[in-house]
Amino acid sequence: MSRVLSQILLFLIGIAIVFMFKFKRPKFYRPLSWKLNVLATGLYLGVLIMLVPILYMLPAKDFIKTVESKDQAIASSLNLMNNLYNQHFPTEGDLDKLEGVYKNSCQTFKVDSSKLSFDLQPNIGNYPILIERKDIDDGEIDVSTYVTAQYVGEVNFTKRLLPPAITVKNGMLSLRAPDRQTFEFKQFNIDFTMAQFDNQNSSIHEMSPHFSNQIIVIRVPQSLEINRGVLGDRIQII
Amino acid sequence: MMSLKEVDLLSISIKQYVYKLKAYSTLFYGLLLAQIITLFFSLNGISHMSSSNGELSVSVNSYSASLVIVFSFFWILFAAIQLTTKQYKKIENPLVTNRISGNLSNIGFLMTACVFGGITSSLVGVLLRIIMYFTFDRSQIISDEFILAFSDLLLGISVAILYMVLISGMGYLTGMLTKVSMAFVIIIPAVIIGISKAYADIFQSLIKFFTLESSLPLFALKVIITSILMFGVSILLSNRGEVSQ
Repeated sequence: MSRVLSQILLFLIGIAIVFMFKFKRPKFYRPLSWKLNVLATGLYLGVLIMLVPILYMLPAKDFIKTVESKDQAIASSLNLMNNLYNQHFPTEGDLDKLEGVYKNSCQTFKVDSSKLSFDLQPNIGNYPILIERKDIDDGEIDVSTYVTAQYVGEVNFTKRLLPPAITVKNGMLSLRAPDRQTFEFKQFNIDFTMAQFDNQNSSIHEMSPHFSNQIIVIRVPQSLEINRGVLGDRIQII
Repeated sequence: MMSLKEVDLLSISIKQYVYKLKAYSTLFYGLLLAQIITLFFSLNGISHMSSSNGELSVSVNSYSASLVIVFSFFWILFAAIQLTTKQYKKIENPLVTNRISGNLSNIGFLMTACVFGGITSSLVGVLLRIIMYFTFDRSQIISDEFILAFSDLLLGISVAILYMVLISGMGYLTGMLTKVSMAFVIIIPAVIIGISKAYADIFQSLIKFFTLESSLPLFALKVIITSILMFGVSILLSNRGEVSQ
């Protein structure tokens, strides 16, 4: 809405300036000697030329960098989700090695009951939950969350995704989805005059997003009893 | 004798060119105004994309200085047409002139305007980047294309100048045609609209002839030859007008 208003305002300012010049032309133009005109246009050109070295001096460390290996990361992520769908479950070690898959949290909880039940928030999404039994009874539950490749255009922002909130209390593991996240990006497209000779079909880049999936891996002591309850289809023991 | 005449024509044209550069210098304010207004428009972004999957939403605002270049093209088009109007012809009155020297000096002025317009319109892209750098959250800016290679900047300037030369040729020819007969005021838009509707392929091929050329030397050659043709026809029409008057 504010954008529309600002554009209307600019349009009105433009109209006002045009009319001002049209009707006040003799008063405006007569005192303007060619010397003044050359000075004004020269100053304008000079300021613009001065900006070129300034642009190259600006540090670019804060900017978002684009990546080259997007296709490989997305293919790897899709392959992983496909394997999960086909009941081919990876271990935590496998996930650590996969390209495009990022571990975004790792927590350890003390076992406070002989059973482990689950409480999943309804809006948690379809996170696959994989349970891996340890070889020992160390009295600890290790929970790791993984996120598959998340891209918009060539920008990888997988690492910016927040993991779900996880708690273990009285033998109940609770998962709470993070608050809705909003990501805003600003993409600069080169002018069409450059794009024509820069092997680019369009000056506007393809910025379609590829959404990620989160995977939760829970490593439990060997003897801990798992109560999957009604969520048996989402919780897989591997 | 022949060479003396040519030297005279050239020196007269140069004198007129310098005179017109001073006399028409107010025209440049229109360009400055157009570029500044479109710069503000460009700061709002040229396109917006957003997508959501329920848990997160992603939005991308795209920015470009292309709008500034397009409005600079409009400016050179109208400037070229204006030079053929009676109001601007009156400025030539204090000078000893003929049609050819008048046209050559006009073309000289237009070429200067093209170079100025091409350089400034491309450099406004630099200004846009600097404004974005200091006013926007830098952690949201995608580095790709924001960091402009100097060779790309020079390429952009050259191409913008060439396009402006082409458009000024079109504008000058249009102005001359309307001088020959006011009927062309209706005929030219009618022909353009007619060809674009009835012979869309031809019309698109004509545009693609320039816009899809990916070799800079070839593009420059196409623009220079087409512009020489358009300015040449304009001079011939101008001479014809002189005989008929």
